Amino acid sequence: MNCREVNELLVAYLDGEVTPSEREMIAAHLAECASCREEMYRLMQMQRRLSRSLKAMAADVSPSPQAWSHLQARLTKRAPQELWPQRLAPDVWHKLTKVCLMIKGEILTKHKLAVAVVTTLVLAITIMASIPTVRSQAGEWVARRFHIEFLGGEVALERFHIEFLGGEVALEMSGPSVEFSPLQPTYLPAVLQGSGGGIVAEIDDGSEFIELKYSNDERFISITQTKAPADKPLPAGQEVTVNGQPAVLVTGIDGKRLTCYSGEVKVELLSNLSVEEMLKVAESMAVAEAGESEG
Amino acid sequence: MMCCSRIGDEQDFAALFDEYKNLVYKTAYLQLGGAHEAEDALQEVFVKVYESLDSYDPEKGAFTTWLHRITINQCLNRRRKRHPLSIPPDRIPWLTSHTSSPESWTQMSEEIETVRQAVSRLSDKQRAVVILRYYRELSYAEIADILDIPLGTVKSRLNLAHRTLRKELEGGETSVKARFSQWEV
Repeated sequence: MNCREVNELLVAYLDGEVTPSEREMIAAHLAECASCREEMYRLMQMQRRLSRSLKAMAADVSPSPQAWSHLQARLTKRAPQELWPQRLAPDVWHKLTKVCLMIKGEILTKHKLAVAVVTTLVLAITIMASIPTVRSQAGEWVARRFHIEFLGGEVALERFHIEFLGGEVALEMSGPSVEFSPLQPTYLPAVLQGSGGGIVAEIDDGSEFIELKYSNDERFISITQTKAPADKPLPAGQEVTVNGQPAVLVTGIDGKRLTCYSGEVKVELLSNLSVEEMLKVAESMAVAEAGESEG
Repeated sequence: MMCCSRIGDEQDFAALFDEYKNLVYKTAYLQLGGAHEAEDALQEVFVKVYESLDSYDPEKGAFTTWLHRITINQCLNRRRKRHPLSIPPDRIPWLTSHTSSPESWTQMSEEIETVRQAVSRLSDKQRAVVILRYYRELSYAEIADILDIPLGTVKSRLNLAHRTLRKELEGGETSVKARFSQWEV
């Protein structure tokens, strides 16, 4: 080994990262070559300085006491996205958006919808039920964000309860049609356009619901529709109007729920959009024409 | 150990954060050169850990290796995003957390500051290798695994880093102080 070859390996030699044969050859060269020995000592000294100084630099620094609370806040902010099926089961969500109810705001025929939903819901429930972390987190998140009691008869959240909290997973497709004329928004904020998907299902009390979801990294809105009960009750909360009809807004920690009626349909919007935007979406709900997106 | 169990709830994740926050923070601090940057990186790393814990496979390596990989990648990404055209090395804010005044500068060990300045002038990739080797004391194989580079690349980066460091460190304290002064003002 000549001086150039030894110099190329000296750092690794000092770090104990050469092969036994290289070590032997380097040692033999160093025994004979004073300049390479000098070079080795200088390198050794520099490595020690480096190691000592790096450790000294890092010794007195530590994360701020608020680091964990900041992280908690960031993770909580991400929770709306984690509730969406694409976070939980991307393949299921893909199938759902591909064949199911809505793509870019258009509704498929109810027959096709029925076939698709049975498949996807079974898959989704299986996957969700198998992830205890997700199940518990999602249930807690819904309760915390929207101040809704799971067993209070709120249809959309009844479904969350069933899926996420490990209760009865007896979702069944109700048949080729729902018992009311489904609505769809004719207005959506630009940031959410083209981001939608949806499902339809029957819960175990026999009622049906349609849920449309639109989301991006920052904003989301979930629109749940059910057949309106005869007396059209409204929950307690801030009274507002939607198309001149009474409606109620309930504000959670960082989300809002707007409940209103449109003809025979009860509409509930869960969203982190502004109140103004939520009202505009609610007022734009109009009867969807089945089969628009075929082909 | 926490790292090998599934993170089932917030308490588990809090415990994991508590156990590894210093590892992430100190590595990020040395790599990025400032407390504020390290704090941000710490957050980003643990968000990433939270999101991708399912992808960690204990059979493929130690949890700390996986965590170091995320940490270094996050640090390199931060620099790329913020400084797409590569900032001059002497603009790296190595001194922001400790040395905000000439008074505090004089109180600090000149030796440490000299090395700190020299290391700040390495390229991001060379600095990562130096930190993993001389601060974390990892083997070349572990470093190669963390950075997903061949063993030979670890050796060549360390050799290049040593050449740069020697130029800086053997240039004498005066030049280092002069650059510091210029940067602070």
